[in-house]
Amino acid sequence: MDDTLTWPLAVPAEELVERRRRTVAAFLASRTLEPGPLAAFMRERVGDGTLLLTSSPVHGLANATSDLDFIRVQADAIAGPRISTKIFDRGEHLEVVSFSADEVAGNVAELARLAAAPFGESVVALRAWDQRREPRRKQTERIVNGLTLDGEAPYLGHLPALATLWSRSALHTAVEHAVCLALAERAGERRGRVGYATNLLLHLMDAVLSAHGDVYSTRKWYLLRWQRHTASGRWLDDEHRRVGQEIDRLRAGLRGALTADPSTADAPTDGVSSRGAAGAVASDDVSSSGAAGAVALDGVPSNRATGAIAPDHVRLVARVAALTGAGDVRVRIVPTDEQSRRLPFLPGSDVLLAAGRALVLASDAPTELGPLDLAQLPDVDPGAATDLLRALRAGVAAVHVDDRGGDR
Amino acid sequence: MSAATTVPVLPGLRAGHGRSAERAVETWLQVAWLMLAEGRAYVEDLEGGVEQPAMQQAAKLRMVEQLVDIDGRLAGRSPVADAHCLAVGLEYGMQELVDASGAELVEIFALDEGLDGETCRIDDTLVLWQRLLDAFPGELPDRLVAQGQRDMLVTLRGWAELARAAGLDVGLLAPLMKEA
Repeated sequence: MDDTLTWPLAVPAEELVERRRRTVAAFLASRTLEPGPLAAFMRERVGDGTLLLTSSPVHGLANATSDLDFIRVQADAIAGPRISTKIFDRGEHLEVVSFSADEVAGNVAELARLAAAPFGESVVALRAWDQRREPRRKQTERIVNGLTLDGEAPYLGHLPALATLWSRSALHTAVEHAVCLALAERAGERRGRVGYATNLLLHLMDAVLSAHGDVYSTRKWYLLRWQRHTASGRWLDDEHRRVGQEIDRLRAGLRGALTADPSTADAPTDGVSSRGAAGAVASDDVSSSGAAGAVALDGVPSNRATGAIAPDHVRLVARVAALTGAGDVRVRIVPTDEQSRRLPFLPGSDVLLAAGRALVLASDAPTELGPLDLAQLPDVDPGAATDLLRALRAGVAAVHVDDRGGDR
Repeated sequence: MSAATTVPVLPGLRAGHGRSAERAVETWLQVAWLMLAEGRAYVEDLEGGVEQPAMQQAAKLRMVEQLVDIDGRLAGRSPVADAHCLAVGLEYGMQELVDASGAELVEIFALDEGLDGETCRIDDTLVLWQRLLDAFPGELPDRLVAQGQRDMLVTLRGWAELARAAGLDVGLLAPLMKEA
């Protein structure tokens, strides 16, 4: 690993590698496996090359049911689809997939190129990664974080670029969830909004974790990794720490949010609403009442049953956007393809055709929005919010995120 | 009795709703694959993660999202983007995989826990999952055991023949298998 590389992450490289050596050693010992014989066994099965142990054992997350996931990097080129080899041996599930050294080198070079590119461009390219590149995005992350059975981390030098990109992508996803949360709340979706808020927080955790160099793209581990990170106190700076505290405050506010007000009947949702008509529950029920989710003196989140939750979540996303280098983010909702068409169906209704999908909607229903600052989202008209959310879910419209930031 | 034991599972099976051969076979192959590949994996995470309630909570949310996706496919809808699955399930419930309101799903999957990461109730989730397996038309191979790998190969050969007979491209399962 090149010691002269800039390492802007929370944990020094040497400490990270040593920690991973320990966790892998403990994991193997728990399975009564030894690195030398295991490496020989795998070499016999799949051939020579650099064998990397990846995923939960490397991150110290493995439990009794965790598999041993390997990625093997070989000198020669590989043709054809990359099928993983599954091996059952003495009660262990081992899986290995192979890539060539050249294509791995190409991928880590691409990580560096994208990390230096503007925010929006890098996120678009990362999302399109799997259409064009082998190893895939997730596998590239596994390779960067992978450890050989003799304790080397040959690709860890690329972690800063990986961290930058994964952080940006997670933030971008959180922005999309912020849009949907605000729309769902304005549309009166009392439970639906909690769905978006939940994932918004998980993706913000991922954005902040990644920024600190803790990158692991499997969503089921986000929360546990978050807990460990906040317990460690290893923050990049005070603003990251404060953002972490706010994530935890809003996280606490979600507890019971789905069952807090059982007397509220399910809001009837008309199939087709028109802008300005209360097709959704009146905004009174979810009016902006300020400190929704605020922790009262006894530690119990207040106002979570009837108060709005979108404003606080949206504000937090804006703060993380600033930290991630996206700057002041603006959002738009537009039809999913430029050739979209909106045609009359019956008096009072149309059909919007876009990207091979179709949505029936009221003639005056909007399917576009913005550009808006994030802070404006909670003020979207309730009727419009219902129409826009339907359009997003039906796949005829999409959220566009325009960043106005500099480099991270 | 808890909602997990009373909500109807796969109610449309008994009804005998018709569908074109192409749509029906494509749907059932996708649904079966997602149940055995993704569903079982999440259940394994839940059962194996007793010491990791934070992981269990996140895995349980992913499982709910996957089941909402499967429900939509059974209903003949285009799959809704991942970002919307949880919200749609919570607000509108499911109809085809399980006939349950959003409130019933909250109860069954104990989603009132939120993201506290402290405890994770999975009993009703596992009850519902077993009912789904019992009601499923046929036995889903278990890839997580050694014999299951061989069962899967046999099953896939049969599926290739089935797909061809229904006029489908045999490669239709490729994207799902690559993700699994």
